[in-house]
Amino acid sequence: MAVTLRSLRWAVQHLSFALLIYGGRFGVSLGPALPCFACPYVAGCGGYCYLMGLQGYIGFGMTLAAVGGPRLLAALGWLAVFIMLVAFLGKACCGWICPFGLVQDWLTALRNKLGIRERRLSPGAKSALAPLKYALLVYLALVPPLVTIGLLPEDFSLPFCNICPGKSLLPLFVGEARYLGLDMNNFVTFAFSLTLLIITGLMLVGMFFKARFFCLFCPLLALIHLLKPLTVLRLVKAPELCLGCGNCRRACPMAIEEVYQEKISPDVQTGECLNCGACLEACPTDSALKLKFLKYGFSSSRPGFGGLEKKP
Amino acid sequence: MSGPASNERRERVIKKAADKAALEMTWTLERLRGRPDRKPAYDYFLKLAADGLSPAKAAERTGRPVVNLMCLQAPLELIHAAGFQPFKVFSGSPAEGGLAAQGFPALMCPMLRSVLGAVQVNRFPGSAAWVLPTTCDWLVKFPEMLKLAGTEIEAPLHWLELPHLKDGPEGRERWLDEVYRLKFFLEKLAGGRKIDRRQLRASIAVYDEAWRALGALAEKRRRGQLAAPWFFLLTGAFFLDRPEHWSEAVRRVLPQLEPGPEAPRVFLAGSPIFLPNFKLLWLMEEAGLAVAADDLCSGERLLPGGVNYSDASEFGLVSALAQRYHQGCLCPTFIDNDRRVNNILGPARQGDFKAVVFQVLKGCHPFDLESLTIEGPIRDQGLKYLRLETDYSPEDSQNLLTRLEAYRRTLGEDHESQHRP
Amino acid sequence: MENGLPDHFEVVRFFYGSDKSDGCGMIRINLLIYLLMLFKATAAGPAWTAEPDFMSWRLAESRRVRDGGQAVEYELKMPQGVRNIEKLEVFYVLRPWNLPAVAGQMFGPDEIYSQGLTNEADSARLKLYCGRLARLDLLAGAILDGRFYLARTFQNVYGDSGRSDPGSRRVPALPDWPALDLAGGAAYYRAQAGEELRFHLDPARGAPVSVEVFEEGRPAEARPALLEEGLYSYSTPPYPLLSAPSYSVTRDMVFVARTGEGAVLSYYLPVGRHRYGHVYLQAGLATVAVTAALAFLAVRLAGRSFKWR
Repeated sequence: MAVTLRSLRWAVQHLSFALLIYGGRFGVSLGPALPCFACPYVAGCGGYCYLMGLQGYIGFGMTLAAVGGPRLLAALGWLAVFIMLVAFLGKACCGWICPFGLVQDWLTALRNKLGIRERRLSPGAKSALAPLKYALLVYLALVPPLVTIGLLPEDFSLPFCNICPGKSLLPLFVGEARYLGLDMNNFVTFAFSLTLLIITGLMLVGMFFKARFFCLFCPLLALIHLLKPLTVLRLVKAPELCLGCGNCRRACPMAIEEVYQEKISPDVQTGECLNCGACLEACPTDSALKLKFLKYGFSSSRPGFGGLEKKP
Repeated sequence: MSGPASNERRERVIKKAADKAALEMTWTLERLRGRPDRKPAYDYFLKLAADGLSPAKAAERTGRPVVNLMCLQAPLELIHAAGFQPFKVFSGSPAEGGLAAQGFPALMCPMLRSVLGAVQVNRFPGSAAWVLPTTCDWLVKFPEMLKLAGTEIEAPLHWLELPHLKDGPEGRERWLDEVYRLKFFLEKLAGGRKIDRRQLRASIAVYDEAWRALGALAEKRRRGQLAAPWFFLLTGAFFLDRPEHWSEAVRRVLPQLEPGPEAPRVFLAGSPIFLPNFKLLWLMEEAGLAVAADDLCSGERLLPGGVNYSDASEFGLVSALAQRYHQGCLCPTFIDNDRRVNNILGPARQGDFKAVVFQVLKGCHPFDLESLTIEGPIRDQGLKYLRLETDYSPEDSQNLLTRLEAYRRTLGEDHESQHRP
Repeated sequence: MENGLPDHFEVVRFFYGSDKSDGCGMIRINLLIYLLMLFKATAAGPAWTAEPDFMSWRLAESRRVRDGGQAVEYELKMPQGVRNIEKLEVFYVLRPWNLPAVAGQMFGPDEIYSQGLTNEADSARLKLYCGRLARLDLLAGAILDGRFYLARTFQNVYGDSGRSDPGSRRVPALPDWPALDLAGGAAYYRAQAGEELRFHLDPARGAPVSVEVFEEGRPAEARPALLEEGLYSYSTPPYPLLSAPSYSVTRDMVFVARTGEGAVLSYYLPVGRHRYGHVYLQAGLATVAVTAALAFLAVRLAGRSFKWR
């Protein structure tokens, strides 16, 4: 059986899921600077999502005392590790590695199996929602320092983690349902947990009916996109070869139009692109789309259409 | 004139045309059979063509009722999933065209004129329905012209109103409406049996394989291992049997192919070429030109193929088909089809060919205009360009040959440097 | 190690157990370090295990602070006759989801941190702050005269006070337990009624383990059930991650688990669950279900304008 891009990606996603959710039990520790939802709330996880690090090391942890000492160096060190990982892996963190992304892909596969049609958002709705992920990024960056300087109680120290559906759902994979409970310690924790649970309910339905629904709101996607100038892995188009068939638009889980519409520039790596390569597999034209890492990469091709290499 | 005498005369005229048309086909097939590059695997296709380009034969062979189509915007998979055999109606017969010459505009689509004649010759009985997209003026007037010719289509006729704006969501939505209407029409035609997604997926897989086989064939031709007349025989026979059988037969051909004589290679564009009218193909061969690739709807663009879907629900599959047959269609009839020329410029960049031959059938306005609009971009990229205007009659053969030979000479100068993959 | 501690320190890290029920506070057990350690232990001799006299520590002071956390002060006493403490380190197992703060600072998961030690002649005082939802699992070690001493006492500071019982829970002062034999390694946990404890033991070198229970300061009857539940099975692998016998605490008790002679502290007593946790969980699940149902309805309603059926 031929190895197709889709099956390769499926395998990598599952491997990554196993590593990031269960790896800690086997001694794997990939550090606290991972550019994907490797949730620290999962017991025995193989590494931590850097959003926690952003809120913690960079945000909440940066007291004056810390800034003057080795903690600052440690924090900057992890930031550097994060940036390096993003520079190499780019959005592949989203499309190939993120465990929460795989959970969404499972839901999509289930929906397809049941023959239920996907609900796509209208382009207007999509563009209205697009800034939300950046707003969440700002929110998670600005609130923790307010805790450090004492303006907000400690319960705000992880403002995004407290509302992230990864926290409520991913620990289920190690048998931990505690974050699906309300946290009644005080009003703030109650409000956070209630918000989290409402978001969880909305996301479950959204992710079932629309592929990668959560990624529309993900601040990590926003952050990785902000680092695009440093990223080596890129989605590239040869517009002079494109026939405008629209296959890529139909294949894209994020319903991105730009790859299809672009007629001039080779750069089609947009903010919501997950580098999943679905467009490559759907493109029936040789070399029109490429997922490039320096001079290596995958390319669309007619024989390779649909991810299947058939007899020549 | 009416009355038994005129009817009798009319019958004779029609019979004469039918016999002549049959001869045209026989002659073409004989010429193919006599070629030195004939391979055993071609026999299947030769037999199909020899049996006659008729829906009745196709119905018999496939065991399915036939739906007649013209052009290529109606999704074949949908028709197939409903239990029908799609059958593309065309005619390349000068004799049939001659039959219909009287009483119609002098300058009209030669292909449709031939089809009018073919209908009179009664080549198309035995189909369950006709499905026609509103692609161009002539097609839209087709039923009225039939009435003028004294015949009618008896089977139910379903129109697909083709949105000529395809590059936006509105056009997509309108076309999806049309495809759903087609789906309901087909379900009714099939006696109320619904087309479900399992059947759609199966049909998509069948035509996907056919598209891949076609792609493999085109690749062989690109490499100079397949001559154009054979290629067009194979594509011409596509609708005469089940698509699976066709794909298998094509796969049997592939290993038998070998490189042909060296010749300057060109890209063939423009109006389609249909059996048995291989006039241009014979002339090009005689002039020493080989076809590297084409974008004819009777050739490489026979199937839009490559139907992908991320949503495997019934709606997702029907949408996928609708979009692929609409947006993936490179016909110049569309308003916003400026990327069509990339189909030529892209492969040209890879060095498959350095010249283009554009065939315009007299009376075919979209292609006529297209021949003028794409000349600029093609020459800008350093390709040579030849525009030929012709029709089905053999009278201009010598003229065409002269022009093609001259063209070949201009290419011959840099033939040595021409890259062969 | 980043703190500049001696390599022995790795050993300590290694012997923290893991418990899947308690979240990712599990220390990353670096297999390579484990192997190195084994090598070290055999090559260099188990200097860290042989000492019969250990530091002891006791809670000198404990008070609740405004946000519900605890400020505690521990006194660590050095073994008899030992003076001149060179370095005293306190090691924490951290819980990332309720990241405790120490003296107003936050530290990330799996960090070993020490701070706030003031040395006196033969003891040191350590001030710690444990956030309301935090848990500090403490182990102290000292480097004295070039040797590393391990405080065999192992303690959980459970900062969760005042959660739903205002003013009631606090970590009490730990009395002396002359009856306890700290040689051979032991640690204790003071449990309160209503908690459920799960035991996870990390069997070191095949030494047997026993668990003793003290009720209200007096040794209670050992509960054979605990011993029989495989707490001391040492078949491979060394980290039975999935076995966790549990025990319901019915009254205030102190559990002491010992390792066999010569073995180092190698177990971990996880924190108990919140008394009303199951109610909150049900309420939470109901919230998710109701939201999801409403969202589903909204999707269906929006789909009514869908014309292609």
